[in-house]
Amino acid sequence: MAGKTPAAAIDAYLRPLRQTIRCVCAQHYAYLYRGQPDDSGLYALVLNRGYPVPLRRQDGRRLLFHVRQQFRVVEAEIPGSPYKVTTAAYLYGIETPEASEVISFHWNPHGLGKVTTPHVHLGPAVVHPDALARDLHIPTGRVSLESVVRFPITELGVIPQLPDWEDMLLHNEELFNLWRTW
Amino acid sequence: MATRLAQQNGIRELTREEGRELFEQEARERLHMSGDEFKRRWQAGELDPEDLNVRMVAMLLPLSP
Repeated sequence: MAGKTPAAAIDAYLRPLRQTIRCVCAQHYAYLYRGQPDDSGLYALVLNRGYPVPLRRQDGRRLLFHVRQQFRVVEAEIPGSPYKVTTAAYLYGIETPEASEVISFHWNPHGLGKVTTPHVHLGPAVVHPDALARDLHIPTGRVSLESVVRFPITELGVIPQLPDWEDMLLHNEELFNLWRTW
Repeated sequence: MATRLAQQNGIRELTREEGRELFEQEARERLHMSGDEFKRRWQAGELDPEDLNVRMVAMLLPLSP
């Protein structure tokens, strides 16, 4: 997902991300907001202006979904497309409507947390507060947004919002794997 | 709030001012402090980086350099 200009590279990066999000988020909520870069070239990206997005489940209940990323534009060394985007950090989370964490996927290699490698948290909605797993940083590989979006559909009974969600997630995951540098 | 790049493709580009407003809103709603206070306390190591709300706001720090 490279581009002739930084703006084109960002556009090429964000379009499939937004398609991926549409697989579980209703059109009304599926807006990605990205800011201008900071002094180090880091961009922030957030779904739905930071408000949690409701996911509809087959049993009529709802979950809430968060998507936040940081990314930067780097040189691609591809003829005709000298720029591409690389993910710098992510925070994807699923909560109950009462804002109780179900699961969240974190990675921030430059963060101040005690674990800077990719990991997952199991929240109080699924783990008893006294359980050993409550505050664990369970290691993962760096996960794609596609795999995170697939998870509530296949495991938590969330209703997909697009009929071709499986193909779309597969396609966008292939793009992600093709261009990933980590 | 007006956005510079509008709603096509479901992607909105915030101006610097809009980004600062969003960061301020996040800090106030999640942690009941101003964006400036968050940045000061974050840089001073006074906020718990394991707190989910702190992490959520910290992810948006590039919006308000």
